[in-house]
Formats: sequence, C-alpha cells, structure tokens
Amino acid sequence: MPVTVLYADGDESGRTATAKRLSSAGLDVHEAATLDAATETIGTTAVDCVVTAYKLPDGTGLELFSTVREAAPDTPCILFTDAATSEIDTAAFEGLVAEYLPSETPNAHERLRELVDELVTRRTQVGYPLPDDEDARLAALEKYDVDDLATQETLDRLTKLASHFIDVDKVFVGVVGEHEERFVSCQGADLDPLERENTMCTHAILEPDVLVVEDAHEDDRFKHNDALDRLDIRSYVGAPLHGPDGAALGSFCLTDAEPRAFTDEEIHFVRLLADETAEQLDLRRQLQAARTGGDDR
Amino acid sequence: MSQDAQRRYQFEGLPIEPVRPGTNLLVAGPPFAGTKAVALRMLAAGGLTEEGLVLVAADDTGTATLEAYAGVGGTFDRARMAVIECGSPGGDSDDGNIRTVRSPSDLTGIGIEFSSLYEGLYTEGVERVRIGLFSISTLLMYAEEFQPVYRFLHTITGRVRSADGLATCLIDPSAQDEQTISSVEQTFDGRVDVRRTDDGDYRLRVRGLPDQPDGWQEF
Repeated sequence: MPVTVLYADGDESGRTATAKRLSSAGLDVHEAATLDAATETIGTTAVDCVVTAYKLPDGTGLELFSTVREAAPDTPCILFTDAATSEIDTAAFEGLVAEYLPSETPNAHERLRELVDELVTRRTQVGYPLPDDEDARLAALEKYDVDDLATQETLDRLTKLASHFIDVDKVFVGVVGEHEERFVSCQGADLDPLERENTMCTHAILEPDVLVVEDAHEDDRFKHNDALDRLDIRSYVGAPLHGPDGAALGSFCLTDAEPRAFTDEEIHFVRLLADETAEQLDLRRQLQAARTGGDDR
Repeated sequence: MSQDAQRRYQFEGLPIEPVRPGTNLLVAGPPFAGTKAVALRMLAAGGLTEEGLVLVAADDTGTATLEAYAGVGGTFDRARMAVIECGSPGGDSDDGNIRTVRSPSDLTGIGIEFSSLYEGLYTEGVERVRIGLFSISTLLMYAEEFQPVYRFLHTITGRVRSADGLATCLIDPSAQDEQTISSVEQTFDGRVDVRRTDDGDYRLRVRGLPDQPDGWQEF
C-alpha cells in the first residue's frame, strides 16, 4: 500500500507543484487548500503523514497538528514552510512535537519525500516507547485471529478465572496493535479500543516478565494520563503474551480503581494465565494454518 | 570493515570503545559525578571533519553550555555548531550560534529549532551531526505529560539513526525512578552510567552496546 499523505497549503501553485512531486515519488497525496478542508480529511481518511504550510488561509499548521494529535496521535507531522522558526508561535502548542523543513531548502521536495519516508517507517513521532522488534511483532500479530468465536470463549474462561481469584475491578486480554490496543476479553467492563500512547499494556509488552503499577498517580509514566483516570484505572498488573518467537502480542492484565499492592502469588498467577492465553492463541493459529494449508510456523 | 572502523565515533580519554554511526546513548548519573561533563566529552572527542554539533540546553543558558563544552576540550568550528537554550532570563542572545525557545516545556518549539538547525547543517554539506541533550530530567520536570517527551526523544534519536549521527542524552537518576529511566532507555541503543565513589573517584559503565568493557571503569 502506498504511503498516504495529507498536504495542506493555501498557495495553489506551490501546493500543486509539491503534491505532483510527491505523487510521482509514489505517495498517495490528499491536497487541502484550507485548515477546514484538511481537518475534514483527518476526520474521514486514514493518513500516514501530515504535511502543512505554517500559515493557512483560515488558521495555522499547528492548529491542524492539534487535531491530528487528538484523532490519530501517532501520525507524523511536518511543517513544510517558508516561515522562519522565529515566526512560529508555539505558545499554545507546546506538547505537539513536529518536524520542520524550510520549503526553500535546496532540493526541498526530495528532502520532504525522504523525511516522510523516515518518519513513517521509523515511527518517529509516537508518544510511547517501542519494542526493539516492533516490525516483526506487528507481522506476527497479523497471523492471529483473536476475534474467532471459539478463541473468544477460551479467553473469557481465563479472564473469569482471574477475576474469581483476585479481587480487582477489571480483568482483560489486550492486543497491542500498531496504533491502538483492542480489548478482546473483558471482565468488569467493556472497553473500547484505546490509543496506544494511553495504555499501560504499551509498557507491559516491553517487560520480560510482568508490569506492576501499585499506584498510577505515583508513577511518572502514568500520573498525567487522563485516559486512565476516565477508565478508573489506578493500579495494574499485566503480563505480556509472548508468541513462539518471543514477540509480545499484548498482555493479560488486571486493574483496580484504588491503589493496591499485588502479592507474589497473585503476580505469579497472572503470569501463568498470560502464558496459557498465549499458548491458546498460538494453538488456534496453528490449527487455522493447518486447515487452510498455510504457514503454520 | 576498515572503512566502518574509521567511521566509528571514538572517545579519547574515556573508557568507552568506539561506537558505530547512528548510535543514541543515554548518559545517566547525578550532577556531582560530573555526568554532564562525560556527555559533553563524548561529543568533543574524535575527528571533526564534515561533522556538525547541536546542543539542547534546557538546564542552563546557551552561553554557559558553550563554555562547558569548550571546557572539556570541545573544538567544533563555530560555523558548524549551535545551541538551543530554553527560556533565558535575558531574552534572545546576540550570539548567532544560540537559538532561544520560550521554555523547557515547549517541546514543539525545541523540536522545530532542532530540525531547522539540523537541516541547515545538512544543507551546508555537514555529513554527520553530534547531538547533546541536557537534560531529559529537565524536560520531564516541565512537561505536563509523558507522551510528548517520548515523541520528542523519538524525533531526535530517529534523526541520529537515519543520518549516522551520535547523541548523548543526559538523565539524572536522583530525579527519576529507575522504572522511568528504563522506559526512556528503550528509545536508546545503549546506556552509560556515571558515578562518583565514596573515595571521590569517577567511574562509568557502558551497557547495551557490543564490544564494551565489562563493569565499572575508572576514568
């Protein structure tokens, strides 16, 4: 699939020329002449990268980036502009973080194409730590069908077991995808998919064994995370679901609205359930592959 | 191989073996152990042909940072180096090498200046850029959320990886807990811990990189 770029600039001739160059380099370019039009595109189209001039007829490029960080926070943003850095007012936009490329740079179009490429392939503007093997991890994840009904029933049995033996509000199996986490079996609440930068499982999949957070408000990684507060998540224990090649697909986790400690026994139990979940998922993947004659490794 | 060896970054006078181009290092240690000086020395050492330097000074003025850099033997040509200072009481500096951003909390502003300087060096024919970030602890202290700090660190480390650069980014373990540091460390290729012993000796230890000395080394 070609890389999709939203490109906003009010100057028609400049915009058309840049869009043409990007298109001829193989990118799928959506042009917008105004902030309004660009914002509309963000709402309707999945884009891999957003490029904009600083000054737009009805606002600024930073306003557009604000919308992007709300709607699809992982998306790389590039200011491609003739405005000097001193002309860019970042006062209301401190936490956005974006690339800046002067449009009068020699070979500006070539540099822009390189930059888009780098940012998209290296996932350079994500707001969370990435596993070293992220590409392999996502490739492994694609081989699993977690929404299969029989799989769902198995996972539900395991999450029910956890909620029976450990006194917490919620138990769930979370699958950490490229940009968001999906909750495929939940006890205590049905959770909608959550942006990856806001979930604790994003951090749990980096752990070799288990992530324990006794009080999110006392942990620098999570204390300012409003999404967790909205979901009444104050304490957490989660163990990564490791596939046969070691990649972590997601995690088996328990959360509570109150700060709490977890005993060694409880943590060990969660670890066992995570291993059982991972094995169930993998056996079903192998079964599916054997049925369809596909790759079962 | 020999060409690769020549391209490696070398650290004269420090017990750190050369590292390959595109390496991002987290330098962790308290201020009294001379941690910042170690990070600056790593940027000062080695051959300077066709290289540039960008320092992000969130914890001090641009002028003081340039002096500290010169103090550890930094010899970069002024035309190929720049400092981003974050909120100086005296307002904009007259020094053309110093760019000023409103506050250490303005990660968007710092990022834009960083990219602008980086692109400028690139345009002038500089092939590799060394980067110093002082410090992640200051950015974390000012930031309202953690996510923008990760985003900013990915931006810097991504640039270093794609352009064969070298980055040393400072973090203070007395300001952050170990969980936070290891979470930040995930974005880096390796980590240099710096400490001062009870006897007043300075030690460092390199982790996460191949072919480095084992354990704590005196320097």
